[in-house]
Amino acid sequence: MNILITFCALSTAKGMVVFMNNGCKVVITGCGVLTNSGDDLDEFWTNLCQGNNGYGPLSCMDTTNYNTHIGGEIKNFRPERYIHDFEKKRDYLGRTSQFAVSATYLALKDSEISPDELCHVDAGVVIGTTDGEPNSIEKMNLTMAGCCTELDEKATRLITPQRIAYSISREFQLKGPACTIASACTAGNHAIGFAYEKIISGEAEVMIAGGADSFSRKTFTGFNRLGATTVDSCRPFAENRKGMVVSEGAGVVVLESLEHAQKRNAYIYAEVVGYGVSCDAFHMTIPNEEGISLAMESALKYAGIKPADIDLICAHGTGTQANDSSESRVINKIYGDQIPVTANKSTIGHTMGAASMLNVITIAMAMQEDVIPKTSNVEKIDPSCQVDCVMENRHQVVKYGQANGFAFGGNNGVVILKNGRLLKGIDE
Amino acid sequence: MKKENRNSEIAITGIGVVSPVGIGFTDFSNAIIEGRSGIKEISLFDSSPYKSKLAGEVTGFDPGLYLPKKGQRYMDRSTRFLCAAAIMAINDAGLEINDSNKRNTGVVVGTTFGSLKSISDFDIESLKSESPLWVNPMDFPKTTINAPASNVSILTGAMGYNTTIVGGGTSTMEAISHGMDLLHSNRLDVVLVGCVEDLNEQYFLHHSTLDVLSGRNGDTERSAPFDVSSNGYIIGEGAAFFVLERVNDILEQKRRIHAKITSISQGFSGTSNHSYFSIPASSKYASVINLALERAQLSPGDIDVISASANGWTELDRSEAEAFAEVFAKNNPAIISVKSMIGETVSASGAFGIASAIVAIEQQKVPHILNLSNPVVPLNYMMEKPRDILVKNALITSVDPCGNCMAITITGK
Repeated sequence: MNILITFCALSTAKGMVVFMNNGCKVVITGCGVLTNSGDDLDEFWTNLCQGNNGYGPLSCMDTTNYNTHIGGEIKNFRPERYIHDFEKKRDYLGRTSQFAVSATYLALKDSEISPDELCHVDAGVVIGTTDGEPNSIEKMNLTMAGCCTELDEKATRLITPQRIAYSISREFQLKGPACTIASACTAGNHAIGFAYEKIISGEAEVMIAGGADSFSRKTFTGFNRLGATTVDSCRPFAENRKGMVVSEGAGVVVLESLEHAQKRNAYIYAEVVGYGVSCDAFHMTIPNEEGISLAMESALKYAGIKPADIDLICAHGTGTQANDSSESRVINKIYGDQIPVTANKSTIGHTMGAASMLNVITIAMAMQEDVIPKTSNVEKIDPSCQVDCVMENRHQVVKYGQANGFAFGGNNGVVILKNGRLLKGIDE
Repeated sequence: MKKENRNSEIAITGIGVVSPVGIGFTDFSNAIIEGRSGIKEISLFDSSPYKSKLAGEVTGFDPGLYLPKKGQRYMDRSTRFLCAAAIMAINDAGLEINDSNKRNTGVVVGTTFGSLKSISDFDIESLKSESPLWVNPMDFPKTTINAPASNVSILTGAMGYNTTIVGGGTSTMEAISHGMDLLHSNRLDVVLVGCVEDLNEQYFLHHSTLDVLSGRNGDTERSAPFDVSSNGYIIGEGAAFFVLERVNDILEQKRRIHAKITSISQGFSGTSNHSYFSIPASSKYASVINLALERAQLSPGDIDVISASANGWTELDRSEAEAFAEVFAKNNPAIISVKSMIGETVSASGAFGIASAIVAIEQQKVPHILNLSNPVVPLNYMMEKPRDILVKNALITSVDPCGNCMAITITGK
């Protein structure tokens, strides 16, 4: 490893750039997705670019008396396709854990790291989530609500969110850091930050970082009650946007030190050049622009780049009035009105804990394909959302891309990636 | 590649505690030295459906003493615990969070659910009501696991970072490890690390399905870590909060340090998902402890006291005790088990373990372990009463029964 102390250690009291990263770079070498738009990266990408909505009428719950009846369920999920010996593990893995393990399997396959290799390096895992194992909690709740007499004991055992990350450690025999991060809809971005720190400190050589959530009746109810769900389509930044689509899914990336990736000749999607995490410290549900700005400014600062360097923002873009207005105002203030913005929640809905990781993966794919995927279902952009919301797929080289994630409680997370092709120069 | 020797030493400058034995660090310290038990009959819900009836319940806690009236109405139990402990810790550190430093002050919280009661009750309400949308919208924001952490930021103004870590029994340690990363990277100047669990029926129900609660088979219900006749653990609740800062910054400001963190280590060892639990072997535990010692540049003989993770679940206790016996064969440091007094507080357990070690360092006294008469493995336990001991270096261990082991070493001045 090239151990260069890049900056001197000075107090950050005045907010100067004094980032200690000892010259280590962190790269993405594999991606895995499990969504209502496919579990194959190409299929996921194609659906995104074609604008095929992955959500539809909900079958997993009774939506009578709700305002909306659509959601982004993953129908026909077959865990045995991804999890070896699944039948013997079924009782010990909640639905979200199954998603997370499956997406990790796909990401590892994509990265071409062998299972044997993983056992011999310092490898850990961090998975972001909003609701953890809501599917299991909600089965337990049925008894407590008097809807059924017998307690589903198996489900009641599986309600704890730490099992999501631990099930991956156990499945792939990882020895390094392992935890679940529950900072809701920005947890995937937080997971990237957590994993990044473990790699640059030398604690781990490889980190599995992901985001996962299974469909939550509780969350569906809450957002319905708040009037934040749409009845037909999710239309981020659109004039006639009516809200989000509650979904489920998982996204996982394999992060490693550049040195490790180069040693094994891995394909490099992108480098994680910076991340920013902040908190509005303002209100539990109303977004605050100071907090959102801080996360974006922080990410840019640690990436060492200017707003004008960003070629694409994969927005949080939930399709709600509140989020899209405040997010676009902050983007406009910091990056101007020319920056291309895309929002994949238009077709996959809001996958909660998986959302920001799926944003990261969308950017990685955009970098690979030289295409900015469109935001679907938008006929006319809200004039107050003064950003370049991409409505048709656009051929463009993406050198730097940014993934946004904003959550309840004012939890914010922003990740900036640099195209992997730009790293080639290091070899020479 | 092992963790490099990071440049800045990290210290704990403030502590806040809401526990089943005392509210506030002073109260907590006195309680554990006295050997007060916080295990009591559950009063928060009707325990008649359950075989186990006891818990380390927090009583005598008046949130009004610590929290402003405004907004308290929408704070659930765990949020009140956590926010109160945060205020205590910040005051203890002599810290003021304002416009000049709020962007460099961050929050890292360890918890399992935030509040499972808030999450579950909201869903139950929608199922029981004539229409599911009759739920109270003000209850919805309480149902995310990050709600307590977010409330800490709203209350204190800390904007620089906020995340919630769920690592079961190792939540505290993973949270501290992440907080230290952020200080080492100079991303933040102050990290507020707090951990919380709250007792409620749903949480108790979950633990009762795991078949490890003491008293479930009709035998005597007690919290008896390390005792050979122990029949399981007793659930506890509470919050403990620390202020972490770089030592160099504090020295400049001439502020008090409770203890310095000299190392942190971690190791996962779990069998594949063919079983519910995957308890680490004592050899794994031992290797994680040895790694902490190596990183702190300490030998086993330098450790004066161990604040253990044992909780009365004999399989876990034995694994840990055998690891101690192996690593500390030559010097036999004193063992603390605060879980004998407050029960198993899962995400907060590491924090209470650290707080107990700090008590030992500051009082030069090691609290004894309650209910211990016949240890699984002979070690240097205080069994009858606390003892005056010269304490400079302490080791605190944490384990999650899915396979994660962690250890931290701290030192007094």
